[in-house]
Amino acid sequence: MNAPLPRSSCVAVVQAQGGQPVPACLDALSLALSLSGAGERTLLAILAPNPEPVARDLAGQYGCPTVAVSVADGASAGSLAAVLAGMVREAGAQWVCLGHTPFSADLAPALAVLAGGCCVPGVEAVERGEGGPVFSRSVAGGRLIQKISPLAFPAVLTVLGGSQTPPEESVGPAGEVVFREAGAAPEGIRSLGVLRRTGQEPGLADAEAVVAVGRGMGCEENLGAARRLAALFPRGVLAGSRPACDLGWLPHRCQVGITGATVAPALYLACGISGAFQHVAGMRGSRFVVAVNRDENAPIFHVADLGVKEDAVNFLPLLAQACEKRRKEGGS
Amino acid sequence: MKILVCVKQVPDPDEPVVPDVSGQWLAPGAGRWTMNRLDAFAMEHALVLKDTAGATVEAVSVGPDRAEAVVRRALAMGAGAGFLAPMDERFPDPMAVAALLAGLARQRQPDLILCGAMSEDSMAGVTGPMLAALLFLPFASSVVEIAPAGSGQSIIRAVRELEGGMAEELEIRLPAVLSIQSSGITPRYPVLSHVLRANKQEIFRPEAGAPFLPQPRLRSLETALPPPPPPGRFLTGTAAEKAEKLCDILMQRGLL
Ligand SMILES: Cc1cc2nc3c(=O)[nH]c(=O)nc-3n(C[C@H](O)[C@H](O)[C@H](O)COP(=O)(O)OP(=O)(O)OC[C@H]3O[C@@H](n4cnc5c(N)ncnc54)[C@H](O)[C@@H]3O)c2cc1C
Ligand SMILES: Nc1ncnc2c1ncn2[C@@H]1O[C@H](COP(=O)(O)O)[C@@H](O)[C@H]1O
Repeated sequence: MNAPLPRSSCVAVVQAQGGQPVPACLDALSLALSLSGAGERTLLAILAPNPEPVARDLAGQYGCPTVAVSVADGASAGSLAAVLAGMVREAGAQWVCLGHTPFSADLAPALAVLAGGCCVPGVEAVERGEGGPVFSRSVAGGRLIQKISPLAFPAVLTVLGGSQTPPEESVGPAGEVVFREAGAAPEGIRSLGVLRRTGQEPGLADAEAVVAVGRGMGCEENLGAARRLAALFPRGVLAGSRPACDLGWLPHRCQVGITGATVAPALYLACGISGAFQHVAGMRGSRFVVAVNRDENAPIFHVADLGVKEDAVNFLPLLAQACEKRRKEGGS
Repeated sequence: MKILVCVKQVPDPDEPVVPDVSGQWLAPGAGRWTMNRLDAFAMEHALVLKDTAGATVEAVSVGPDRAEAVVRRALAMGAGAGFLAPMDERFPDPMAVAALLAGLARQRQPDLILCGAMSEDSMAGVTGPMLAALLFLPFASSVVEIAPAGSGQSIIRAVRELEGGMAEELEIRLPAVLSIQSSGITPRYPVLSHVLRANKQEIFRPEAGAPFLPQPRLRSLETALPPPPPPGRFLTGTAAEKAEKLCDILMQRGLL
């Protein structure tokens, strides 16, 4: 059961849910595979209550030696960080890659402290610099890109979902699987239960058109045209960024993003939304994205198919009017 | 209950943000700095506990001299004491920031440490979990509600947000570190008399007894604008013309 871990310079940590790896963790695996030295095998660590099936699948698919870490109910990021720190030390790893999920976002910094290394959160890209890998990450709401390199090791990286090409499968033999356990350490924090805080707006998840408003709309009174527009589209729904909901302009069930709904409509019309990755993560699957923003450097324009550099408060009534007119002409 | 709130000074997010003179980090384009928004939420939670449960509130920032302004803001909002742990203008290495905050926390011995879930300039979200790990304290992230539990001072209840509209109710034995996520509450706006009082208050610089500044563990090589999106992506003309064009495109694509 407690076979020693194989040595490896690079560990990829994969959370599994419902027997499947969490998608962002495959981005972490891709990055880990690219950071591993030539001829070296990345060590996979699978975290789940019952990790063995996923561990066997992935060990076969990618040919990596794999640790199946069974995670006790109630184990926190802090208690797992201690277990992973031990494994990282045992493997002699320099790099630890995790998917940028809320759970890893808490785990990675604690792991960096316990392992005596550093933490690079939200990695989007890597390039080879003279002194080793250089990582790119968004700062200032995605308006600037920071290039950063570690000075202390192990370097613990969280990798943004959708940022890497899918990991390359192996044609070689399956990696061996070893087992570890992460218990729930007594911690002074006790869960009293999970509750539903907000429901989800009916029709949002399978909407054909989403008109989404952000803080740039200024105030609730400015949302009239956005509301009219949403009603013009077949299966159209009005939604918002997190601030638009926190400010009370829209109910929280209308929020799009990592902590809200994930949508994939034919049309996503983003109005006064900056395009922070926490928002974009919830609308990346949209087929046609139009962004209205008065700042041409707004990161939303990087994910938009079509950009409108305008004051959204002035522009949306014009657009609603034009569309209403066109619908009337077309409909008669 | 003694609460320590970590407040970071960041470039005003409503104005342009530009690479700094070194090209390695960033600075406000128009020179205006503010309190990181989520730290204002953290302050508000602390001040509600002050008003309702008799908590004392102290605020700390790590940064250069200009960061005194954010400590004063916290004092004006209602903190009883303010601390500034000095650090230079360069990219603030999060492990060094966390070590300085931990140093102050060891001196002040708070029951509860609050920080923001993420700072608007670094977008790292690492300081809270690092601080908790350095102090060997329990940590919960994305907290949106805090309330005292019972009459004792040593236990609180909190609600933290999970994914997909779910939340978890927690019972937390103090001392602990929590990171605060935005919610429907509105951080208070300091009244003028409090601003004037805060301007006269002393801000403590915990140099004496502070740990030596740890070696940076990250090197910021460059902070720059991303390449602009292709110009063909933008509609051209007057606002009304753009509205007509967009309408045409939506019709052509069968979206309208
Ligand atoms: C753990 C965590 C989870 C999060 N989860 C989510 C999430 O699920 N969903 C989410 O949306 N956010 C989430 N966030 C917040 C996220 O980081 C951003 O802060 C948020 O998405 C920004 O919202 P915004 O674009 O509406 O506002 P801002 O960032 O303030 O952007 C406003 C935009 O409007 C533009 N603008 C201003 N005035 C006008 C005008 N008159 N006309 C046109 N444009 C204008 C500005 O140029 C700017 O680009 C999360 C953050 C954290 C830390
Ligand atoms: N220089 C700093 N001074 C005080 N608090 C900070 C500082 N940097 C980060 N923090 C705290 O840590 C939180 C998360 O910041 P970050 O890890 O940079 O995203 C912030 O919201 C603050 O509460």
